[in-house]
Amino acid sequence: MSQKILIVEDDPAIVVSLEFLMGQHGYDVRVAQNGEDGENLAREFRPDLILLDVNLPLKSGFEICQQLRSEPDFDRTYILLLTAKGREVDIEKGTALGADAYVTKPFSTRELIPQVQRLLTEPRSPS
Amino acid sequence: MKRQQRILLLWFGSVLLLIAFAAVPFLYLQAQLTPEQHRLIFEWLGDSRYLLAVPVVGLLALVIFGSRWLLEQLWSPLGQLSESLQTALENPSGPPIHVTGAPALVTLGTLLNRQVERTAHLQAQVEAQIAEAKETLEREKNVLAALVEELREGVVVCNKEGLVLLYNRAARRLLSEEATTPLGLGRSIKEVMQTPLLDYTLSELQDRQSSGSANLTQPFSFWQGARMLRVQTLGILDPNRELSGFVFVCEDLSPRPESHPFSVFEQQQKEKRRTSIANVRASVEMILDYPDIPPEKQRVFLEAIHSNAVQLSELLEVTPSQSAEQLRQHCPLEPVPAQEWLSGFLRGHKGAPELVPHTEGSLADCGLRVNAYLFNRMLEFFFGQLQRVLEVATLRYDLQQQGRFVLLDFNWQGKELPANALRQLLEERVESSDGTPLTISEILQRHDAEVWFQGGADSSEHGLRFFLPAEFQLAPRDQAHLSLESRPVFYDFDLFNKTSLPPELKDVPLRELRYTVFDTETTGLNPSAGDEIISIGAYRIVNGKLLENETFQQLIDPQRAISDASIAVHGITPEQVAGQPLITEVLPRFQRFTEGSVLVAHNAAFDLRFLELKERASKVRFTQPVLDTLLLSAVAQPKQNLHSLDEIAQRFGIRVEDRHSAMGDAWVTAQVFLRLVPLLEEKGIQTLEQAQNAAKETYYAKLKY
Repeated sequence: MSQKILIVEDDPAIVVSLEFLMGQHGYDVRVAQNGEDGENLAREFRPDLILLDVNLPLKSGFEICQQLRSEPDFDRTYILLLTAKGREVDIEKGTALGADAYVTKPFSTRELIPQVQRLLTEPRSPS
Repeated sequence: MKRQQRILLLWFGSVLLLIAFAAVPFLYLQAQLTPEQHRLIFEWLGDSRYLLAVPVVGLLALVIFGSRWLLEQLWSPLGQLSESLQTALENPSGPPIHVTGAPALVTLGTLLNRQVERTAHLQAQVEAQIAEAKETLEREKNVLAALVEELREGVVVCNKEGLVLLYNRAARRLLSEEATTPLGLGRSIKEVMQTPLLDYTLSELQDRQSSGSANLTQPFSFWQGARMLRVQTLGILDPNRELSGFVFVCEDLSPRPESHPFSVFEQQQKEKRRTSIANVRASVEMILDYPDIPPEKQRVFLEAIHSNAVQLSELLEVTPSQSAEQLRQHCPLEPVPAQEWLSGFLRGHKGAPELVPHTEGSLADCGLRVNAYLFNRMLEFFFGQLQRVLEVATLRYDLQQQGRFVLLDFNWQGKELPANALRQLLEERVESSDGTPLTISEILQRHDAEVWFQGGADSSEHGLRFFLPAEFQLAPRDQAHLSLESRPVFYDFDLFNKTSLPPELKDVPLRELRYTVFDTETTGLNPSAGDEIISIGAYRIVNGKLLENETFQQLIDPQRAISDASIAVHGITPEQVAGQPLITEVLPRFQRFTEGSVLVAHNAAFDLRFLELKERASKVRFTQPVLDTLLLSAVAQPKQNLHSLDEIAQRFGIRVEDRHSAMGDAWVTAQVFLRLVPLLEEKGIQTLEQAQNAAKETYYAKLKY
């Protein structure tokens, strides 16, 4: 069974690339375009990894991250924050709220794929 | 003439006189009597003729012991008494006159002491009245100084010759850190601001003043080391509308380090650019890396590239929105030490919830950049919500530094806040000091800060964490600087009318010269045998005042052992000097410190010998005139036998602390020197040349190191 990736991102321009890219590498991909849909879809889909944008309509990526981390069901789910906020303070905040990695836009898809693959080789150990 | 010589001379004279007296009757008899009578008298006297010598010897002894008594009991004490009286009249509240010798002299001393005491009492009364009048003036002056000193801009006031009369802490930081010569009272501003723009600006202002122009301000900018300084120059006019000086207001224009909050607008723009570039890049990489994708899919990527390229082009034209500008205006930030801010906040917090300190670790000692009014109101808003929604009664606060950030935590026991509560709170508004409502989110953005709730569902401890950039650019503050009474001397308006000293100093009155009073500590007493300097301490005297703030203090690695005897004196150990700069690095710096001043030291020959031996290695030569307090003391008080620093200090009633450290000794030497100047003046020694000549003639000048 292929591993599952959930993309929560509201900008269609990057969603098409990410969805295509993850599909090309054999992952089972779902997409949500706002925060609330993203959280609901996460509970239903049970992804192995979430590519989570920070600036989302309805609910921010930080909030979703903090919420999911408080639920034991998501102990084994990797959360990778994608954001255009390049400030150190945001990275600190993301890490404090339980994100496993923090990717700042613009990034290279050529580096993102190995990063995702590396994370998914081992099951996540809950902190 | 020394005492021994005087005694010898007196004895010698007395003996000659006695011999003369004894010889007169003898020679007379010799001439009057016949040889026969001579013989008869000799026979008659027989052996008892030798008894004739007794009265002569007795008289001789009387004269010798009498003259010695006179010298010791009257002559010497009288001389010392007159000197002591002179010192006492200079400083009537000093130690009493001590007289030994004849009882009449001792009585005289007691009477004089009583008179000096009376003088001291009268003088104290007059001084108290003067002090009272001065105090009012001083208070006003201090208010001005405090005002200037607290300014974030550097302020320097010069007379029209460019001599510094006043400067503030910020000026010292901005101008001295990168300059080869430190900023100091009585120094020339041109030594510190080394730019041709300064001369240009000053002559421009002079021209304008002489042509009657009303505009006497002129800005210029220059690089001072790594700092870009903008200097606003103002001409000062005297009551006759003549240019009497200049004020320089300096501002640091260097770019701020990254930890400073940039504008909210810039941050938003940056995020938009990052997003668009990310989209373009991802799409391009898809097309490049997956050439086999079907054309309709490829078209989707191309469209994404196009739309983001359009977005990027539009971003170039965007100007700051009104709201971003407003935010900047309504929420100005100020640097403040983190702990100072915290204690201010705690003082201002009234009522519930109760704030108690979290005991672990120490508080952050860096600074913050905050709008305290808004930030504190925002915190109170959060507290109000916690109290209302969760019934929180006690919050434990903590303020920690973590790398380039400050963490401000408020923790409580009990219920957790719902996950979506924070988002709602961020949209709530509080009013700024000018009444503009700003959202919590805007306030946080302006501070470049973040906030989040911490803690999990399984723990009963929850927290609210604020994350702010730390500020490291705060000017250091010391407590002394906050009290008006102990305000350091950073100004001297009496210098206003002084001009630069002419290159030929010899005719300048002693009172008007600038001095560097210094002392060295060494590995031993023998410079010629390889002993080295290990410490230099120096103070400046300008306009007759000791400048306690403008000092030079440096330990030096001698690269050799320090003798135990020396360690016993100054207490400086090899461990303390290891790794300190070498003498060849220190001397050029010390020379710049002494520039334009006369050197003063106690037993200067000793210190100078050390400096002289280092001339070649350090390429530094101290060519300015030198005065020696040991010699000057011998000039001013020739009848005193002892001129060690301790003895002189005791005579003048100077408190001696930290003796045998370079700084401590330099301080005592400076105090001694300040008291010697009026004594020298009374002896008619008014100028540098006169002082040097007088010193040369004293006995001690013959000592050579």
